[in-house]
Amino acid sequence: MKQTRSGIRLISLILAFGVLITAVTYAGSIYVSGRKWLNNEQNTRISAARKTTLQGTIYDSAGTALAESYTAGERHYISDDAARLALAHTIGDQYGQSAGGAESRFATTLLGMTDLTRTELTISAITGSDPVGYDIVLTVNAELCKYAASLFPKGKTGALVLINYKTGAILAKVSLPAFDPANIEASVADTAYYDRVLQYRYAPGSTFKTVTLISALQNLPGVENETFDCEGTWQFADYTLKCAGSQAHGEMNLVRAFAESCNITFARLAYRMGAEKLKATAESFGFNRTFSFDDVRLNPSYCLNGASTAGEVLQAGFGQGTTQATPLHMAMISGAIANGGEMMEPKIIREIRRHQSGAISTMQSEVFLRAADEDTCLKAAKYMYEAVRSGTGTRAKISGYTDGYVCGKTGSAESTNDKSAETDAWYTGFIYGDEAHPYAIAVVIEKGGSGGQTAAPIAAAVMKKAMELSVY
Amino acid sequence: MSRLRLKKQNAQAESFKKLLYRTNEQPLLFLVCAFQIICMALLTFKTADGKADIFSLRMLFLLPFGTYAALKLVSRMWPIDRALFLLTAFLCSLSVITLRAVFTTTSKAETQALYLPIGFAAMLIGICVSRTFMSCSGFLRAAMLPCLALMALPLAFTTASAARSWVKLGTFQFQPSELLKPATALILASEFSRPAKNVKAWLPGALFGAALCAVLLVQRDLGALFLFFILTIAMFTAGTGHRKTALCVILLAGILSAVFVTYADRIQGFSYLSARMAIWRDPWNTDIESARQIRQGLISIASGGLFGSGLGLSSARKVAVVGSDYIFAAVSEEFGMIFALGVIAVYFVILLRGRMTALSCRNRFQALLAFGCAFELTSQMLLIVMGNLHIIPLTGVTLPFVSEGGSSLAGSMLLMGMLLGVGSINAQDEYDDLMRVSAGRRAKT
Amino acid sequence: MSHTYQVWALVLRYVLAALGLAVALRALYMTVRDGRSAARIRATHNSYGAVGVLSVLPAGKLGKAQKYSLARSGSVGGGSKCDVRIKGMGLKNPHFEYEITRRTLQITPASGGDVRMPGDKSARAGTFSVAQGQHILAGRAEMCFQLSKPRAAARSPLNKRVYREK
Repeated sequence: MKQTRSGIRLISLILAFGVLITAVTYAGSIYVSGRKWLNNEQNTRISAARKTTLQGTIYDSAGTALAESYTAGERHYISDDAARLALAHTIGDQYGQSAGGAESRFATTLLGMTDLTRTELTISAITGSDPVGYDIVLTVNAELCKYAASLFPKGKTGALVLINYKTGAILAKVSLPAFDPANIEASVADTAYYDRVLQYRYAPGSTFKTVTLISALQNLPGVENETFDCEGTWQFADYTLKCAGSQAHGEMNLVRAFAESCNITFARLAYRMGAEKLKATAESFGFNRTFSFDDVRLNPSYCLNGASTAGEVLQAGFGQGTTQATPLHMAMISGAIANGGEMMEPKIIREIRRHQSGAISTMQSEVFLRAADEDTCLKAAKYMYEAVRSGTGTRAKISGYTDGYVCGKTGSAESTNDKSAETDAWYTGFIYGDEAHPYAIAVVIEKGGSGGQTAAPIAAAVMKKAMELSVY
Repeated sequence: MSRLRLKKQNAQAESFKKLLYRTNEQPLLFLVCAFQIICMALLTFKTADGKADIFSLRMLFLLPFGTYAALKLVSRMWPIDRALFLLTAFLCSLSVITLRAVFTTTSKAETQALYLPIGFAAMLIGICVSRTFMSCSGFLRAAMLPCLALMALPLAFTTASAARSWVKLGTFQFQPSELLKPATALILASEFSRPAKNVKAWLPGALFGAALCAVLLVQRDLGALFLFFILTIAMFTAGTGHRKTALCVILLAGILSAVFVTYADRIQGFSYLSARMAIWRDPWNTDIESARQIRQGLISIASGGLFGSGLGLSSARKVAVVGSDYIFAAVSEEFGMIFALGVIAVYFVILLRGRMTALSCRNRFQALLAFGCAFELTSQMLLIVMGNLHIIPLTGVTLPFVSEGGSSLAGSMLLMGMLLGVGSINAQDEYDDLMRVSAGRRAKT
Repeated sequence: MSHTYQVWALVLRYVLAALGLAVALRALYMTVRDGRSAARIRATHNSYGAVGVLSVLPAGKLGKAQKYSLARSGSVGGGSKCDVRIKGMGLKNPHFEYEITRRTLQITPASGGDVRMPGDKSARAGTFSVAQGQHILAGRAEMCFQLSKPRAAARSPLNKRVYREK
């Protein structure tokens, strides 16, 4: 009997432990994941709540109201047409057309559904007024976005994103073509609802050489003192590789090869390192992984994912072939290099406030990953500075700016096998050494031609405007 | 002289009370009835056309009156544990209330309300059964084969669909595995409480448990399989004390099931297992449409917040199978996290009281029986709540007393009845002993 | 669903949550108290649950026998796992299981435990009955059991007022 009793006691203890785990997990998961669960697009309660709740206002970082409601069930957007189009994907829409916009991604916050106690609901039911949601202050600056959108060449599509690499805040974000949040009924271009900054993957082209460079600095000791010879074309097995315009760069060191953006040098470097090492560096910069950020849904970027042939490795050296990256990710990579190797998690919400009143929560910067060590990043930054000072990126210089160093890398990426088509114009870079303006930027103009000619000046102008507006 | 005797009798009564009291259950009865009345009063007005709902009005009177009358009736007949009875009544009425609040029509709630008297009858049967069997019995050993046959009955009835655990006779259908839970507890208690501890003694019981699990495996009812398996192991450990053997069996079963799940695709009829594991691992991936149920369930739980969305104001009806599988999510959304934690605490108290009953038994058979019932109820609750919360994959078992369904209610009421029956025997034993001891004292003085 | 209903439902949320919590807490409180009293009864079970007495003598010796209370069933032996613990007589842990049915003792020797009736050449195996007053030999001990007098009171009355605290 004693034995039976001790057996009963033991098993009851195990069960009690199970009950405790269940209760704690229950309470914990509601607090931790409750908001995420509620924000899911399939939450049928959102559309019902929109009819009866006074939705919160979406502000930009300067305090301009981008979307607001005066009564439950209707929504007004910023009246400036150009600004509205520039911010279309950031604001989003209420019909589920653009999934990443603030209206859908933060719908439950705007509707006040993230309040666990829901006291607001009870009080408003008793007083007879509409329940109100929370206001959101974004990190983007509306005027900067409007200006950036106006710089895009007429008729060209593409993306631009400017981030603060110290805090991870997204300061400007433009994706064209865009739709009009105030006029969803209107017909738009086929791909207008896609947020190219977050969802589109492009071949990064020569902008990927920053990653190859860092990989070479880490894996090939003494590579900085080597001399490279470029004849304009290179025949390797069945592959013929060419530099831009088949231009022969001649003999040069690594700095010049980078600044002049010599494809053959970097293909050779990739070949010397091999797929494993290059892929490892790329993955340390965030390639080939699923991002699960709170604020933005960023699609993954790929580099040498899966079985890679020799040709793919060579092409990966200069960002072609199977290499694909999103514009935001390229900006984050530049930011990581500028930030001593620490890549910050992208944030788009600066503050959540009670409606027209005090703040409930403010943005907390988080380190997303450590991409590389400080010394290597400093070296890479110096190379990128050379690229702007005397290489292909000279048009990225900001006139009259001496407080910090403008560093960057241009790219002209082939997006199709059709050799006659225009390349995508890329530029990615950052401002180094200026505490007040820690900007990192990525610009891609689809079929824009040369990165140095088309994308770099846009980047320079946007960064100059950002400095004028004192965006941080 | 008579006044002295009166004084002695009073002193005696006092000492009886001190040693034998059960805490007063009147406040609990009041709380349960208040809950029922308030909920049903509110739900009377939850109608589309503004007229009062007759069903809810009926329940407004029937539920508290029924609880009170049933309590008085049962405790007149046997000295049962009243707190357990009241907690069971609380959970059963929670079922009717939740079903009424979640759905726009009252049909599900009405069906459940009709099942309640049947459940009460099952509880009475359970009490009688556990008061009949006092120790290991040959009758129970002989009952093993019929039970196995009953468990295998659905195989004769069904066609090719995945749900092979139901027996349909015209419009009436029931699930044998639910009814066999109390029977298994009874049989295993008898088998594992035999005095001899050698292999020959406990082998029949172990084989019976294994055979039940095999039948359930063929029926593809993995949730019930798991429940029966751990019940057998638990009763084996408590009854025979061979902990090492039990541990080895658990490890072996764990390895086997891990292998089984990994290669489930190759085995005919179990290909849905790998799909279920994929759903469990990544339910938020919108490409997986069948994960919709768990997604909606989690959204529903989160929508409740701390205090719930308000009785009748939730959208829990959008969750698939919310009446039986996801009833906990519905309770969580209607009543809130605090209330739902209280429900979990109620099951925990059922476990504690069952354990208390089992430990106070004078007889190994009765201890095992009481423990088996408490274990079965609690493990079923853990399985379903963890499934709702996405801690483990959903297994298709029901929440005892709260889920809709006649078989589920009957099975759980039988288990509770047996537990109450053992408790009543304990109470009588204690009373008898006290009488004897005090008689001895009286004889001395 | 009218607006009044919504207001009432929202306000009653707090009441219902409090009620649910109150039910759980009251049940917990009752269980803790009842558990304590049950443990107390169990602790004094030696005299309360006893239906008989086991008298134990070192084999062959005469003199005062040690008395142990017997519950309806249990295990006897020298170790801590046993319900009736008899030290110093060379008994195993447990030595044998017993059950009191009607007026006899059913004894089932455990593995390694030898139990014999006086006059047996070898140890018994399997379950066998022993009547009141009959001696059995186990280890170095000789024991016999006596049932207590039958219950002073008849079957417990149906009215269980004694069980509730006022």
